[in-house]
Order: sequence, then C-alpha cells, then structure tokens
Amino acid sequence: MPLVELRSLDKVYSMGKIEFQALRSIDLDIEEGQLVAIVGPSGSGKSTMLNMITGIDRPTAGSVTIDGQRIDQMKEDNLAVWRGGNVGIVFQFFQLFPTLTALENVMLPMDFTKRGSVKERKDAARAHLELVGLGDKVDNLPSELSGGQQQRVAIARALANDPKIVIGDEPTGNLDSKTEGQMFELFGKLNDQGKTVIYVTHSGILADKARVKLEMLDGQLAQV
Amino acid sequence: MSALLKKSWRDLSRRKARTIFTVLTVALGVMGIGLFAITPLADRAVQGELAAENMHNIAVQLTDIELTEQQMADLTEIDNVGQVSSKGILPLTVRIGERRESALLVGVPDFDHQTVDVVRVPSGELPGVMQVLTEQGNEGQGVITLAEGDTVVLEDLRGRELALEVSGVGKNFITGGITNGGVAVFYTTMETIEQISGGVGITYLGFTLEDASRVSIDHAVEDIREYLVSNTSVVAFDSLAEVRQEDEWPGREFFTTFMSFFSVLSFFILFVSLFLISNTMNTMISEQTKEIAMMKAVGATRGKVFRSFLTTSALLGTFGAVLGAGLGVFVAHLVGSSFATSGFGFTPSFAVHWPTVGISVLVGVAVVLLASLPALLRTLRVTVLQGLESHGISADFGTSFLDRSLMGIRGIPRTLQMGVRNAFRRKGRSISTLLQVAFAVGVVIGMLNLGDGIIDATVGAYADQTWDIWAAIEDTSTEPMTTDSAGLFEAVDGVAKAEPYLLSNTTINDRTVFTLGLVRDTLAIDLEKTMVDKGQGRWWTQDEADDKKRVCVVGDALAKYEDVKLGDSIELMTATGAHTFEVIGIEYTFDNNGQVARIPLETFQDVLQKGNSIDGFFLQTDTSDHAEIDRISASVQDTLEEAGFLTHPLIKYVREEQNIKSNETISALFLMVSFIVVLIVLIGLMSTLVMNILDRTTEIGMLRVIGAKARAVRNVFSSEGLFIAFLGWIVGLPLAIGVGKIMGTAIDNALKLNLPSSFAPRYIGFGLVFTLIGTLIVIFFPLRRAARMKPGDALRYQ
Repeated sequence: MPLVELRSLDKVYSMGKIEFQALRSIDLDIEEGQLVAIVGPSGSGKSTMLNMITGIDRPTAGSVTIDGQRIDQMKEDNLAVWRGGNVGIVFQFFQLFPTLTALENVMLPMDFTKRGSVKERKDAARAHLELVGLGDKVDNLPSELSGGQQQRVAIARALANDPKIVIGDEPTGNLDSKTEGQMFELFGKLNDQGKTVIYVTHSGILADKARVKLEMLDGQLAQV
Repeated sequence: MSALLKKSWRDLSRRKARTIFTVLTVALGVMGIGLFAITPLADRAVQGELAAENMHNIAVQLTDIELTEQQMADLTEIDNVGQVSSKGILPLTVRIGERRESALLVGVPDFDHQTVDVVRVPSGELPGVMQVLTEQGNEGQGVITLAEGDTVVLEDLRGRELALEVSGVGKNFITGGITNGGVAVFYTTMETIEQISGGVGITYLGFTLEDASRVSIDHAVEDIREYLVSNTSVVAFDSLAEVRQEDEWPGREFFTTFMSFFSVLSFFILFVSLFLISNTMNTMISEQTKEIAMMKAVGATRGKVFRSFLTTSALLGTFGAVLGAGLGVFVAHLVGSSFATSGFGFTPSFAVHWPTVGISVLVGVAVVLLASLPALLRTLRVTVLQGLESHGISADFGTSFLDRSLMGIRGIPRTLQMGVRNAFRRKGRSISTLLQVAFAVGVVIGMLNLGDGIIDATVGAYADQTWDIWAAIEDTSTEPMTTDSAGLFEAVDGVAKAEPYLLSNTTINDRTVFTLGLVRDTLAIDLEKTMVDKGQGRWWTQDEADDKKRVCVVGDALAKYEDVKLGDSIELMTATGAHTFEVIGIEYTFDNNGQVARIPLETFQDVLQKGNSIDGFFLQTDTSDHAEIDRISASVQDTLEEAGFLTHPLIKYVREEQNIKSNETISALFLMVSFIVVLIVLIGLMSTLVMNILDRTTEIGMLRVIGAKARAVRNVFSSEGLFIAFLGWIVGLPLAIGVGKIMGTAIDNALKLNLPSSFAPRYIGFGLVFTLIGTLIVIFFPLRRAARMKPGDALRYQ
C-alpha cells in the first residue's frame, strides 16, 4: 500500500468573485521511503499539493489518504495532532518562533503531542540539534542565528516527533548555494534512514537528486 | 475623487473590525465630553420651570397672619416689588397604610389667578373645598402614589382624621422638592386650610422683584419686614427670608459642584481613549510601512503620503466624534433627567446643548489627528528601501533586558511561556495597553475607595451626634414649646435625657448656614471628638451663655469657605436681621457638610427674639436597640400630641441609614461613569489582542502545522492578554491611590470636606478578579478567531 494516495484531487481557491483552480484531478501514489522532488513554475500548484499531503489545506474534491488514513475527513484538531506526530515540515522562511530558543522550538512539537517526559523531550531535542550540527546553539534565539542555522533548527523541529514523512516547501529557497548543499545532504541522510522525503524546489540540480521527480503545470501533474 | 483620497477611504474598509473599534473608542472618549452639557442643560431646564412658575425672589415664612386685599396691594407697592402671592401651609400627618408620615397641605388662594410660585396642574381638575391635588413628586420620590378620585387620609394636630378627595396632580418646583425628604405634599384651596386649621392661615408670602440683584434684594427684605411689622400682627419672620437672585435657583451651587466631579471623570475617559487611539493609529500606520515606501517609489512626495494618511485619520476622527457627540447628547440627557427627577422632581424635555456638541466633534477629530502624528512622522522618515524590506512585526526578540527577564520565567507550560514572552514583542503597544489597564484599575479602585470615604464620613457625621431621637415641634402647635418642657419628654419611658435646641438657617455672604442654638453641656454633639481632638479653639462657657454673648463655633468647611479664623467676627444674617458673632471655636464635623454654626441657646433665643421658646428637643434614650428606639419615638409623638404639640420625630439610626443609602447611590453613580473608562480599556485590550493575532497569523498557522490543537493556540494568546492585564493591575494599585487623592482634592476644593482617606485591601483582590474576568470576556472573540484559523489560510495571510 502506498504511503501517500491522492485520488481525483481538485482544489479551487475563491478570491472574491474570482475562482482559481490550483489542482485539477490529481492522482498520485508515493511509496514509503521515497525521495520525491516536485518541480514546476510559480503558480503551478506545487505548494498546494504539499499542503494537501500535510493536511494544511483541504481539497475541494477528491481524497487524501496517508498511511491508510483519510486525512481530508479528519476534524481540524485531530488533523493537527496527526500532523504533529506523522509529518515534519520545513518552509522556505523557516517559520521559527522568535520568542523560543532553538531547543524550545524543537521541543514544541513534542510538547503538543506530550511525547515522553520533559527531560526526555529536552534530550531528544538536543540530539536532533546535534544531528543538524547545532549542538552548541541550543540556547540561542532565532534572531541570534544565521539563515542557514535557522533552517537547520527548522529541520530539527521537523524531526522532533520522528515522523514518517518529511516535507520541504522550497526549504533551500532562502539559502546560499553552500548552505543549500548542506541542507540537501541532510535530506538525503534522512531518506537513507528510511524517511519519506518530499520537497518542492525551483532548482533543477536539487530536483535531479531525487529518485522520483514530479513536474506540475497549471494544477496538473505534467510528468511523473 | 482623487486616487489618494480613494486610498484613504478604502484603507478604512480594509480592516473593518479595527476601524469599528477605533471609531467606537473615539466615540466613547468624545461621549465623555458630552457630560459637560449636563450642567447647562439642567440649568436651562430648571430656568424654564422657574419661569413657568414665576418663582419668588423673596419668600418669607410667617405664623398664621391675616392680610387684607389692601395690605396685599400695599405689598406690591413696596419699592422694587413686582408681584406678591400668599399661601397657607399646614403641616399634617398622612396615613400611608399603617404608617404615619409628615405631610404639608399647601393652600392656594385662587388657582386661576396665581402670580408667584404658581402651582401647575399637569392632570386632573382644580381642587374644590376638601379636595387636594397630589404633588407630582409624591409619586416620583416614592412617598405616596395617588390617582385622581382616590381619597387621602390626613391627620391634624388634634388627631382628627380628614378624608380628602384627590382631584388631580399638581406640581411646583419648590414645594415639589420637599418630597425629596419623604414629606408628602398636597395642594388645596385656602377655604380647606381655614376649615382644617380654624385660622385664617397665611403662612407664606412670595415676592418677585424688578431688580433681583443682591443689594436690591436686601433692601426689599428690609422694606417688606418693616411693612409687615408695622401694619400686621407679624413680630418677626419665623425664619430667614429665602432669597433668589436673578437666574439662581435652590441647589444650583451643589448641583454645579457635584457635576464638576463628572468633569474629572470626563477627562479620565478622554485621557484613556487617547492611549487607545494612539495605539490603533500607530499600528495602522506601521503596518503600511511597505505601502508608504511603494507610494514613494511610484513618485508620491512625503507631503502627499502625509495628506493621505491624515485624511484617513480625519475620517476616523470624524466618524467617531460625530457618533460620540450623538451618544453624549443622549447620555447627558439620561444623567441630567435622572438628577432632575430624583433631585428636583421634574423630567426635563429632551434638549441638545449645541456648543458642547460642537466642541465634542472638534476635540474628537483633533485628538485622532494628534494621536496619529507621531507614528506618521516616524514612518515618513523610513526610506523606500527600508520600507520595501519591512516585514511588519520585528523578529528581534531577545535583545532587550525585558525580553531576557521574560525568558527567565520558567516552570510553566510551553504555551503560557510563549504567551508571556509574546506579550512584549510589540513593546509600545503592550506598554500602552498595560497603562490603560492600570489606569482603569486605578480609576475603579480609586472610586470604590472614594465611595468608602464618603460612607465613612457619613458614619462619622452621625457618630459625632449623640442623640437618638430628634423631636422637632411643628409651628402649628397650640403654643410655643419652651425649655421648661424637658419634663414632658423625660416622663416618657425610655427617654434618658432631653435637651432643648433652637434651629434656624442663617446666611453668611449668601451661604446658607445650618445654625443650632445649643445648651452648653450639650449631648447632641460629641464635643470630645469634634472640638477637642480635631477642632480648634473652645466651646462657650456657661457665663457666656447666661450673658447671651454673641459667640459661636463654626464648622470646619464653613471656616474654609469663608476664610474664617479663630477670633474673627462674622456677620450672620438671621430672621431678625444681621448679627455679629465672635468665632471662639472651629469644629471638625461632617454634619450638614460642615456648613454649620453653633450658638449658645440663650444667645440664639435673644437674637431671634424667641423669648424662652425653642424648636424641639434632642433625646437620648437608655437603649441602643432599634426596635426599642422606634417604640420610644412613637411614645414621644403620642405624649406630645396629647399635650398639644405636633412632632414627627427623626430617629438617628433611620436617618443615618437613609443618608448612607443616598450616598451609596452617589458613589454608585461615580462608579458607573468610571466604568466607561473600563469599557474603553477593555475595547483597547481586545483591540491589542486582535492586532497581535493579526500580526502573528502566520505563527498561528505554524503552531497548527506542528501539532497544536485549538486549545493550545487559545492558551498562547489568553496567557498573553492575561499577563498584560495582570501587570496592568499591579501598576494600577499605586495609581488607585493617586486617583483617590485627585478626587479627594476635588471634593476638598469644591465642598471643603476633608474626607477620610481609605484604601481597602479587599479592593486589591476585587481589582485583580475584575481585571482577569474582564480580560477573559473581551478576549473571547479574538481567541475564538485565532483558534478557528485554518493552517493553510493562516500561512498564506499577509
């Protein structure tokens, strides 16, 4: 059974009198342990499709089944809890909480899912930060970290609850090429550890590193 | 419409909720200014009533005299006198169920041809013989409710019951005001008065003057006195002539003073709304930093940008000010009507004081423009590049000492920790909100303490008086009561001591002074407290009393008002003219708001040419049991009636309770107005939280992305709101002392009453509970909005 199953997926955004169809009849299966890149021009529906897989957005029509669960039918709170435990997401602009230290940012998803004791959460968060090479920055606030370091904290946070799927929405779009390479190495390492990694990118080089490359155009999968 | 003007207009509709909040805030602030209209509106309404009734400039109380038509005509011939009218006023008792209450039956010679102090008839028919009109205030003040066709049972001195038919409702500004003291007032014909009293019955003369200036009034009073003493049975006026200068009315000074406290509250309201307006404008303009940069990038000069935002502010100010001025008109009418009905027994018609409306609108617009200026000028200084790179909320948390201090708060759940730290990400906004909360806490606690101070003063005023029953003898008694009548009272079971007194209002420089003639070793006042502990000077000696020395002890407030010092000579205007007294003591008392004078009984009898007669007795009982005191009072009344004296004894504990109740009403009114401040602050708090939620919409989305349930989002923002409110409460406590002092000083300046200052610890807890509950209520909707945000929508929000 595929880890990700999208069936007849439509997504229409209404903006006042204008309707915009972001996804059109998407059918897609992604197996567990895959490294998947989604490419395509701006407005082609890449991020929208990621939002469907993560349950951040709901489809207008069709179904989203992740690891056998119909997440498009879940209530919002249940979906949040499911997401916290099963999906780790990294965004282009890091989206760290500026009032929390690196360690606290990474602990936060574990706080929400009440994973282990506080000490265990702290130890796990520290280990994740070590993994991304920020063991010496645990008490730093985001404002005290560089862009690359912030993105590494975001990755450590995405790994907090040991999710099956790691999603990157243009995760290196805001980084220089050197840091971009380091980030991608991390994604590769996670995939080697058995995690399913799906990412959106504009970079052809990064897209070519994926085992599966999906190309989107006008809300449809142009090439699989 | 130019593109810039269109932009100004559309900027308002972009954030509808905030625009509505801002307009409402401006409106509430401006509404406070509307309270200034109460005084001129009340004055106008009362002047209308007085004009309709042709109110006297001079009124004199007499003992049952006969005046011929010629004598009445002669009185109008006195220099400066315009019109004259007479009335016969008979004190009686009215039966209300099983109770007996004081009543006045006012005889009018000719209802169709009244000249001065006209009794109007709003409904029903003019009374015939043995018929009455019930004063409108009887029902308004809750004294007695009667309708046309009802029968009212009055009782005269001889215990005779008189069943009089009610022919309609009558109203008169002066006599209507008496119902305020719980006395039932009825109007009837002079024939009825004569039938009941058996005498001729003129006890009152009202005069209007052509020239109602102070000097002319004094001359006219002397001319009238001279005429009456020379040509009628009048020996002296029973009490000081009541005089009214042009445009003045009884109670005006007190009313104006009282309303000045509302003015202080109006300033508080405006002040606190200024914070909120400034906060809102600041946020609105900061939020558009990027747009300002874009406008500059496409060629807009600083002047054009400035005008565009100023137009937005002016639109907001105009909407708010017009709405607020409208609200102010209604609030002023409501508060003014409530005062007019409860204090003066009439309901004024709806009126607008246009100068106040105009000032309200101008101040409202000006306040918004001024509040916008700092933020606008700051934003205009931002370069195009800085503006275009602006991302709204700063992400530099952690750089200040405050941030570091907040990070030190540990051991609380993560969501609360985030809320506490988030509270000061927008420092200016949060500090301003915190100060608003502090101000509201300060105003409410300050007002509650002030109310306590007023009640303490009332209790203190009664604690200073040691009588239990005050038996005042009505004028209609068969013969005057004298000091020798003490035995009559002391024979009543339960009366421990009876002490005679003489009471007559006097004036000093037009200020009415509650003047009591007392025996030297009086038990009516606690001299130890009011003279020895807190007062100055001394009480009089028995020799001074025996020699009828013109000495007096005055109240502390009176001394302050008239700048009277120990040893000064003061001239008191009495019913028998002006008399000079030496001030030998200044007494610290709240009795009659401290506007009192105490004179040796013997001296006062001499001054008022009363011989050995007195006005009544202060009685001390041998019990503190209220039921027993009630019984003794009834026995005193019955015993005196048998002896031919009519009295309606005042019972101290009852009077104290009534006084406390009425002062509690005043305190509650202050508190109610101060709640407008609270309302503005709560709107401010809600507005701040709404803005914080908008600022951090993306973060809310991110919280949901990493697994936060709706409750966790609510916890983050509620802890933020509660934390600001909590800090506001802490800062508000010392402010409460300040507000109490400001109001105390205002009262001291206006009434010369140095209220006991109090700071009740229970209000500290009350303030905290009130602040937190109020906060939870107002942040409910913003929190719901935050919790219901869909992560996708939140992440896309810009």
